[in-house]
Amino acid sequence: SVLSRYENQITILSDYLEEFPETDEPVWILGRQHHLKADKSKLLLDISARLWFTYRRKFSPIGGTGPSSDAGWGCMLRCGQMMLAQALICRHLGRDWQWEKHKKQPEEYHRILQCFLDRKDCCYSIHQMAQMGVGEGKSIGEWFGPNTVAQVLKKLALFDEWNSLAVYVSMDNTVVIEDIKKMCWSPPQSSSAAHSSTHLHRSALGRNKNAAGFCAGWKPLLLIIPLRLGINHINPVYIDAFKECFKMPQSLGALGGKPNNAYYFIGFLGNELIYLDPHTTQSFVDSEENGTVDDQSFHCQQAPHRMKIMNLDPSVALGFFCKEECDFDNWCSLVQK
Amino acid sequence: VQVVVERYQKEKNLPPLSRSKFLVSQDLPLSQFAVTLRTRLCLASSQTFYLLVNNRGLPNMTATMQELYRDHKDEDGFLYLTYASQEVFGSCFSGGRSAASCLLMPCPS
Repeated sequence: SVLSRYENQITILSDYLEEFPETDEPVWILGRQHHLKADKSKLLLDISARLWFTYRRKFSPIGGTGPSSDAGWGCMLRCGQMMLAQALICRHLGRDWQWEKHKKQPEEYHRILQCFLDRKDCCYSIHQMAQMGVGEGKSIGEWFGPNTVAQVLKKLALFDEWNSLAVYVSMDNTVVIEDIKKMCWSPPQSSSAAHSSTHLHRSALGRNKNAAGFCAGWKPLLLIIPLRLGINHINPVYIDAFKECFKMPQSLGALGGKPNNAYYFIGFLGNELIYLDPHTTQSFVDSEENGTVDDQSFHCQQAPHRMKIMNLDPSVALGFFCKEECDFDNWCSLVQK
Repeated sequence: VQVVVERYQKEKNLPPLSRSKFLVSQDLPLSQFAVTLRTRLCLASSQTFYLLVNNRGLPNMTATMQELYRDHKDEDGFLYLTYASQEVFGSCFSGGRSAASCLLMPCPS
């Protein structure tokens, strides 16, 4: 009955779906600019190419006896999955890769999707995320905030040998450049875990560049910055800077929401944020025998949702992806501006 | 400088401080003061802890207490800081629980 009550809510939500207005203002989606009048279809293709994770039901119970649906509690976890999936798309397929319905997709695409299926043996499944949350003080089924999701992704990434991502979650609003360089240049296997942020005084975005020259190469960096942009409401002084983040080529968008509803923000138009909404309950989809996945339900093929930026809850987490060291250096110089 | 540190009234994750008035050395960076408060509250390094000035903005963590005091002090001669963690997200009608278990986290000694 909980579920059916929930499904009523979904129909209400889908009423919000609106076409984009006719405007000359540019739309920014994850570091790419689009013009509504000139190429609206390109914009919609760009949005539908993102992997869209929603509540699912009928997956195998978490931990054997736990919930078999995440409706009502998994929305922030799903948003975290979407942000990470976008990072993996950038890593393997590139930001400009486009998805097309019924088209044969590259092998890497299916491999990425496999990581997020709702099965306990998939490395970033809802099972893995909920269970890793226990170590962060969250029992299974409990709600997450943006930082908790980031902490969980950081831990799970250590078990993901295929991608060997370096995940850095900034604490106390501070990004320590030296720590990131050290982490990304450290040879694979030597775990970059347990990364404590104790040397705070060498603070943010300074000029300390100290690349230790290991031959192992730069590990692709997923940089997550949890923030609180105000106390009850977002403080208006942060709005322009927040929007600016979606213009950066390294942007993976932001995790956040409005009270009780977590969204994955991917861009903006004027004073409205564009987001992918996990609040639709779909049935569990498993992979086929040949390793591919029926991916129809993993892409949002309607005009996306929008909300006024002033309604944003101040608890957010920004995401960025730096495949090469030069991407990170470029990020540092952009942020300093 | 004289500082008052208060817990955000709707805060659910972070415990209250045993005292709220502090006398802090002028040249201490805010980041160090934040570490002191984190230690007092027994927070794990992965827990969020935000200090906001006058209930509004996140100050630069490299600013010294004196700089903050100069720019933001109240008429009554105190600098007011509020601390908060992050909100959690889920749908209230599905019976989700909000976090309380973080309070039980043991203090690393």
